[in-house]
Amino acid sequence: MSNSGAIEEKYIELMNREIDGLNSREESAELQKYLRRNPEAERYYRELLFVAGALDRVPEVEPPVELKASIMRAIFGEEAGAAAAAGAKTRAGRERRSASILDLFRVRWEPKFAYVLAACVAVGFFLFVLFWRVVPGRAPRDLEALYGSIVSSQEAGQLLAVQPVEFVLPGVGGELHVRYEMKRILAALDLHSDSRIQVVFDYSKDVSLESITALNKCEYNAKAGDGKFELTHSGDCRYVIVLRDGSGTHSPIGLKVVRGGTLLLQETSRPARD
Amino acid sequence: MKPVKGDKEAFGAIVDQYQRAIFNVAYRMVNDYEDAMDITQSAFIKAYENLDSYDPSHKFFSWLYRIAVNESLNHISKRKRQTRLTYEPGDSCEYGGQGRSPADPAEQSETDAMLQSALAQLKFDYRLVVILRHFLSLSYREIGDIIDVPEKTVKSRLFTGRQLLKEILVGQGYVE
Repeated sequence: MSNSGAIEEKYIELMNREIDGLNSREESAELQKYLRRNPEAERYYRELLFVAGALDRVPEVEPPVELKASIMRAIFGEEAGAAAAAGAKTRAGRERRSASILDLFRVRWEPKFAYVLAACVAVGFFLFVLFWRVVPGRAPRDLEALYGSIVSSQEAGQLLAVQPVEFVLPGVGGELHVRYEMKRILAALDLHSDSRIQVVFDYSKDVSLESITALNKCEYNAKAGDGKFELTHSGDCRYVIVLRDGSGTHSPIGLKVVRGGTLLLQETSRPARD
Repeated sequence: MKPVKGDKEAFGAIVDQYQRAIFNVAYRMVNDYEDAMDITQSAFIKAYENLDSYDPSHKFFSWLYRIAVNESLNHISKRKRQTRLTYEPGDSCEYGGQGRSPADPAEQSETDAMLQSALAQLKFDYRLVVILRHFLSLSYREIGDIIDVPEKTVKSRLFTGRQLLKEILVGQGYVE
């Protein structure tokens, strides 16, 4: 175990600030230089980094499905609790269905899988080489179909997915999936609403709307402004939204859902920290 | 926008939006699934009862998380008093010693369990700041707003909290 006693206070602060992503380039360089010439400090930093990384990776605990119902019942009485419970039951049913499908693919890891995996990789590589040589023009077109000409094969490897935002509100529901590319942000938005709603995306000034496509026939209107983009929607629709990220800094995207001037939801979709 | 008392739909949407985060903070604070549920419920009830006192010039989530943090603190104090009254030699005296986990304990990984146990050994102030920073990804300023201390104090508690956690985990041989 490393002892912090021999490490200057200033560098302990720099280590913590580095973990929180707050150091300037100069401060990071100064810290690295210090760590290189001080093995005790290097060990201390490695241990601290391990703890912070482990904390960041701890998964969220799923709250009980009846939680909302019990809150609503306690505040508004039996009727509101029953309505919330009905909503929770529907959601839980949906989650159970998807969980049971996922269970089909859930396997316990065993060493013998390494051989199977190696064999699959070898066969896959052989087929890829064969396929590539026989039909040289095929692969780029396939990628284009997959990504809708949004990203090239090189860029596809640099995509950064973000935890999806799912929301179920009275009369409105939806799901937002965001992926960060080097200079673009791709968003898939599923929306269903009984009435007309506004969905507002807030982002930094370096980000601008490149395109919006509705994948099915539906009524919508899109209006882009400075640092934001407003979508007026009703019914069921899936949208693919492409934003140009001039700075490539992966800035967060704010999402607001508004109905009749009332803010129903405010969420931020931000890229996960490494 | 200030939520209005009596508006079931609006308050339901607030519960939808924040219940997960508040439940997780409470769970990490008290290390008990059922207690976390009680804390989350009483935090929302308190929030509803005090909607009139919410000042819209502050962030709503800071106000709500502050209530949840106070509820966790009350719960821990209450539990400590009860533990003192019923303590028998050989019992775990540390708060959250029961460590009741999510419905399926197998789902809790070894790392998660180890961290959770190490967190439970930290003093409330350190534990709280570490949880708000790492589980809710809040900035120093946002944490300061919630617990009503300057950013400098947040920073100092966070750094000490991490160091103490590191020492516990190194002591248990968990960190190489």
